[in-house]
Amino acid sequence: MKVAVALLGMLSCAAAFPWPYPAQFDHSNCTIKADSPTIVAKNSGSALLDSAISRYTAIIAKERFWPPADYKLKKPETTGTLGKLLVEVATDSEDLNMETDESYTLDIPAGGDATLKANTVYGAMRGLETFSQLLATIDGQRVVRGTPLHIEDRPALAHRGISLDTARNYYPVSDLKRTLDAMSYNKMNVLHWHVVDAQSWPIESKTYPELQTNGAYSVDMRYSYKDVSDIIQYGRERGIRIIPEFDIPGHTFIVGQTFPKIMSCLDKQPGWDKYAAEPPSGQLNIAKPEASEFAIELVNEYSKLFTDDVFHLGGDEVNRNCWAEDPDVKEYISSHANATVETLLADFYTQVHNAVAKQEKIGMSWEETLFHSEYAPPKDTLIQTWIDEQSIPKTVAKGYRSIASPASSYYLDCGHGAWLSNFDGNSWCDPFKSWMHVYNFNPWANVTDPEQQKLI
Amino acid sequence: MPPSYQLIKNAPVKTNDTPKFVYRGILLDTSRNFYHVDSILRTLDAMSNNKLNVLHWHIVDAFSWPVESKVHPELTKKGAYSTDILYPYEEIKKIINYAKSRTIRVMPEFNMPGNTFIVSDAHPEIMSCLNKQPNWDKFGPEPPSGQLNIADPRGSFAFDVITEYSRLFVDLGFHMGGGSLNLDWWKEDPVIELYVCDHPGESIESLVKGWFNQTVGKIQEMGKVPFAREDSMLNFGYETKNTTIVEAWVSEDLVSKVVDKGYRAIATSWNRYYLDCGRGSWLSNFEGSSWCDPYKGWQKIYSYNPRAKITDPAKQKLVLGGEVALWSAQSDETTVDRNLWPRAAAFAEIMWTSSIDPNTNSTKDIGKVVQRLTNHRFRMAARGNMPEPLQPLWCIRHPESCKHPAAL
Repeated sequence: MKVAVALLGMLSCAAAFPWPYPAQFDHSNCTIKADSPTIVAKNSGSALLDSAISRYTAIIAKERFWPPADYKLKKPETTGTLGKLLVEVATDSEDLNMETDESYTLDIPAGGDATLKANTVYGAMRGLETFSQLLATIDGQRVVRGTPLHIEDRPALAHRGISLDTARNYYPVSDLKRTLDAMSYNKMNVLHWHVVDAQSWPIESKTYPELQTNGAYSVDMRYSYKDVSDIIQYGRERGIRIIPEFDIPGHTFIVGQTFPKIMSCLDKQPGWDKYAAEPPSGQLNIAKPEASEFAIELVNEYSKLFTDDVFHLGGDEVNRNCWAEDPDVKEYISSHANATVETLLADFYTQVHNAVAKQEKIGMSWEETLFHSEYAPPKDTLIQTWIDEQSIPKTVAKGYRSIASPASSYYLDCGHGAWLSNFDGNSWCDPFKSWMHVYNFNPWANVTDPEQQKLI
Repeated sequence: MPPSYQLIKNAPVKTNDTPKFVYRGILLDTSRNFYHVDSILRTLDAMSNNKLNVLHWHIVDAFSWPVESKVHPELTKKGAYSTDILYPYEEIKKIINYAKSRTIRVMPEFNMPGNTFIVSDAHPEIMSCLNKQPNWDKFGPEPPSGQLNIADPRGSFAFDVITEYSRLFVDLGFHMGGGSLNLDWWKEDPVIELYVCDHPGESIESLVKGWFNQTVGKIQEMGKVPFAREDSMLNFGYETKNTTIVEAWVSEDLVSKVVDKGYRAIATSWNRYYLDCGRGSWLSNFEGSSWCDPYKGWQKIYSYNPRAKITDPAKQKLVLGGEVALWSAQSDETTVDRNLWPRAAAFAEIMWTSSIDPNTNSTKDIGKVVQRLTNHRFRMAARGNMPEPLQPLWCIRHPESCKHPAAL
């Protein structure tokens, strides 16, 4: 009977093991008590490490998580007691970028002190998260199951992100922080903040304050400089980079609420679908030097506020009709030999990507900049693919790094039907992407060259 | 900053109001996943904000038995997901009273004989076809399979359930379920085989009809009005007294068929009103759509009038109302607000007033409807609910600009 119970215990204890599952996980079958493990840094010159240890100490002190798979189990028998968790970090470096080493090893013996070793404080954070997930409280007794256990863990992919749109609808700062917490529980390390779009401009601008005054949904639905800095710091403490996106030249109707003169095709109705992917239509007027000057000022301003190395310039769903029918664009083209909408667009991209480089940032663009324009982005530009899965192999074949986010697998908003008031059909990207569908997507599919695979 | 005083606009205001449908309900499944009492109270508040008046509580199903039973306490002991995850008698009474003070009736559903696997945790001896794997699909609409053994001579279980819960739940209505039954499910049960052999003239079908006869009889004996799903009424040629109220869920056309047979009908057609649809299948190894995908958008709900295809006014009166449903394979208290609202609010307006503007007698402009609905959604949010947004907020101040040109 005891054997059967023990086996049952092991079967369900597998359910309680960490998520994501570590790269290498050796475990045995001893259950040890873990009533109040403390976490101690062996060597600490890092405030970030101290804050991470405080944070996990608090999580562990408060949490008495009983995995639902084990609801019917009785208090487990234990054969040892967990002592302290000793944390050892090889360097004090706090650099957080795509090259940051997030690996760690974690050893929990069948009794006594456990050890967590990492090269960087961020690796230590990943290990602390894993450690916290190995604690389970069964019928009132907190234990670690499966000891002695040995974990060697590292991510397969360097950029593991969530893209969040805070322009179509607003998310309070507390929601963003809670999302960063949730990301840290899942070892995700990039928040791609799609902060503005056609519908609203919630973020403060010191260069053009009216952008926010005119563009935010309300005085309460805003992000101040301080909010942004808080969020960046909150992310950093969790090993999460914040990459801002200022999507240009399309998706910019809201800029027209302040600077109508630098815009084309503002809010064409009722046939907005000729000029934009969704209402309200509006793009920066690429025939006007003031439009690219404006864009460059945005790059300059927000490159300083956002501390990450990468700056996302958007560039998706750029509508050619919008400019073909614009009087300034038509005028420019007729008075400049060899000028076309395409050449104007390529010029625009050249200017803004140069501005990004001048700020010593790496540019990031949606795939249309690479595949649907005459512009060739700088070779270090990160190309985010969304239109279909085949864009990934095409991107790396051209030698660019690819951030995979195909709508068909990774767009989590899909499956709610269309949002247009008078249309009860599906949205463009329905159906809902279930967790199995997300789980089954392989970003390396159809990429066989190992050098190209590294670019994903 | 919004002003610190309150305004009444367009005064003087005079309102004369009465609902178009008397039964305006939400079905909540608390068996597949659990909803703590506070989330149910919050749902009742939200219903009262929308003049909805029936909580159809689908309290048990194959997966769990969270409701206390004093007659068969082992049902809850074995069948609840854990010792914390259940509804004791006092909590049920609390919910019923809370609802009553909001003019909401709480009608329980004890679906039998199908979808009753969970009873086997306590009483396997009265069951057929328990948890057949891997081919559960031959024995039920979803795993785990299991239904009451309708030929079991010990079968007083169903009567015990009806008796006990007719007393606990004070509402006049008692829902006996009866949906999605497949007679084939009982074919492999040895007790049934034996019974049919021993009783020439009897078949699985006659056993099922007998079952329904007795169930309806027992419910009426307890002084209640039976509610049932239409497939049990229409598929087996079973005729019950037309005091049974029938829920038409399989298709919109069945609402007409139900009233044609003289029954009172509740419209709950899945292709309009099943709010859980649109999240894909919940089976672990299958990444396709669920049976009832796609998601039912508020527009689809708002454009449906359950009486639309019924011309005879006497039959129209038999359509008592409708019900939106939240089946909980992929929902619990963490998602209840956004799954129900504001789509149930769109439904609530059709149930109370319809989509016709009473002042002009023509269909309301949909841009203005969603503007008012979005405002209402924000008001509900301010009162502590968490309804999902329907559109970019930009659209609320530009109701004309968020329409599809081709659909104009």
